[in-house]
Amino acid sequence: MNIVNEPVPTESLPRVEAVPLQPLEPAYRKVMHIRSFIFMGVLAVMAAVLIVWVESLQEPFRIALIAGGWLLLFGARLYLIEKSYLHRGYAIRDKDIIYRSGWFIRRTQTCPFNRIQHSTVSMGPLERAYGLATLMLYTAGSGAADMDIPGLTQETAQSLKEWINKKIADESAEAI
Amino acid sequence: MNQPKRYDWHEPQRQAFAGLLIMVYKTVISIIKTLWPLLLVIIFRTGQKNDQDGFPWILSAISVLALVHSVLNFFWFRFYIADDDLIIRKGFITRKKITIPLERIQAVHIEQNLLHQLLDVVKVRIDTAGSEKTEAVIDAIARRKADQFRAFLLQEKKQLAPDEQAAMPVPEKPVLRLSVSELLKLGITANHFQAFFIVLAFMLSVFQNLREAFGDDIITTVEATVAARRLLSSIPLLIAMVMVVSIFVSLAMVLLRYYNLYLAETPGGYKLSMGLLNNRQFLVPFPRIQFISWEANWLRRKIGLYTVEFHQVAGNKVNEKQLVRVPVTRQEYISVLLHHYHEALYNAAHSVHGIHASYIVRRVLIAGILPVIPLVSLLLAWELYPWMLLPALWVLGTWFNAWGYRNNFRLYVAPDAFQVISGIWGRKVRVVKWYKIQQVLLQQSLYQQRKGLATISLVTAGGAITIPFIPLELAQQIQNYALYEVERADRAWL
Repeated sequence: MNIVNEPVPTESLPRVEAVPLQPLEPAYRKVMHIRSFIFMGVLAVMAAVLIVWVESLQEPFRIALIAGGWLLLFGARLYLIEKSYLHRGYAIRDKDIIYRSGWFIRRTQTCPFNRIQHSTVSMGPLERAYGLATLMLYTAGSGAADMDIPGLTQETAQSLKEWINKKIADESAEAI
Repeated sequence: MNQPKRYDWHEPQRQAFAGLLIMVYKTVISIIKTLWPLLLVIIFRTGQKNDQDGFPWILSAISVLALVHSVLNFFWFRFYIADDDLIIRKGFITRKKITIPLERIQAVHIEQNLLHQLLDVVKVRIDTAGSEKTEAVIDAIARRKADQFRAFLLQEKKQLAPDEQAAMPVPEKPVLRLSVSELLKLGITANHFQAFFIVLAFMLSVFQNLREAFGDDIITTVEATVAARRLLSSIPLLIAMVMVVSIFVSLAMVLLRYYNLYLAETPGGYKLSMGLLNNRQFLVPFPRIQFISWEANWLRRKIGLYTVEFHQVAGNKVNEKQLVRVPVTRQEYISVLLHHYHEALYNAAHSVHGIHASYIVRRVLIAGILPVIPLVSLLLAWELYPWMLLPALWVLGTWFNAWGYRNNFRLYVAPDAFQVISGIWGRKVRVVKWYKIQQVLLQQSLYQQRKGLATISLVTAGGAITIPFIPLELAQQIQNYALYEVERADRAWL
């Protein structure tokens, strides 16, 4: 092993924050909204059942309060999905893959290829309906070390997966 | 000198005869464990008229069947080598053939619990990188045979995969032992809160089981007991008793776990054995160590007692049993244990960083004020003003914790490793080599964005190290440097 440890000027290192990100498919925004609709729908049904069952809730003011809370949550989710969609994105560099997500708490995850154990492509029913897929990358260790990139077209996800697998195979071949 | 018998491992081998006893013992224990409330019911309800329900008969039939099953399993069990694979044949009814390629064997553990010690046999556990860890176990085998078998397996593995560092146990250098007085010190300074909760959980589960077995009557019976009533009425006495029991339990736990601790260094890694009833042996191959930490609570710090932990590659979940912790009684031992990984960084660091003061503000808001808002509004509504002291104390407590954490937190950065010191009353130090990192995660909440701060998590295969509330620019530098260190060369992190 060749460990040369010359001082590295930190300014000249490749910078993650300077990489332009590829946005996720616009259809993924729709998928996120539909998921949110389903969730809010279930919540609304639950609230309705509760109101029918519990008599002390059957008062205009209390019903209005519940409805108001529901609307507020609905609005907040809409806003957050829009915001987070604009912030989401991924980028592939020569030696690693970057995924950015979140808006309230912005996360930038970077995973070097030489640490990826294996990768899979997953397609949920909703994703399939819009021709989307999620690329899942697994590194060693606990679940915290995994990386999921949603909102890719199925072709992109598949070709990315193959490309990464090839990269992993090449690297381990080089190591030998 | 009598030459030890040489075994041909290609011939199917059985377990030692004592294994029969161990298997029967295990079956009996598991029967008792699953059926004990039922057994209690039967014992206490004999003489009552509902004997005709045939409960005892069914129970004995199950027990006999289980015993027969374990005996059959014993006679069916074989292990042997075939075509560079270790094959374990087990399970008479559900037949199972476990095949482990020899080059996949990571470590061979030899363990001995009290029963093994009495019968003079050992248990051999074969560790592979995969998840099926519990399967590859040979329950009973004569000590000498086990040693030969281990040597054989590791030898074969070395021939098959010569470039991998095989863990040969032969030449070893003793590093440390623990005396009984040191053990006592360790037990007395242990975290008794933990023991307290274990005692509590144990009592609750016993209570639950009793209730299931006897119905709710038992509770009234217990409550009616005069002694219990007197105990409940004098809370200071109760607290004192719980404290004494907790201290006793944590002492016992330390003794059980660390009795006869012995650590030695072999060319491939550390060899560790400890335990009173259940003597456990660990092998910690140097390459498997992802990072090393050592910690001490407030009391232990005062007397220089530390617990060093080797964070190895954890499977899907970090199992309490897999953690390799070594108590050390002198500071010098820490540097001895660090020697094969990376020495501590204090003076060798290129730069030292703390965390931003707004960490305190944020912690107090999220962990202190937000959770007590419902309580405070209730107290206000009910006009219970004196009780407001409670939430106030809580907020003060979180403030103090955050303040202490922020003041003590230090990040030391060097070209090949970094070190994190944290803790409020006690201290925890973690030394991590950059190239052991698996993934980097940089997070910024809206608040942090406004302040130009960020939180960075450096994820290794042995756990993540999180550095909160540092300047964004520093976090980005750390991120970029960590990635550079991981990506610039292919160094075996495992």
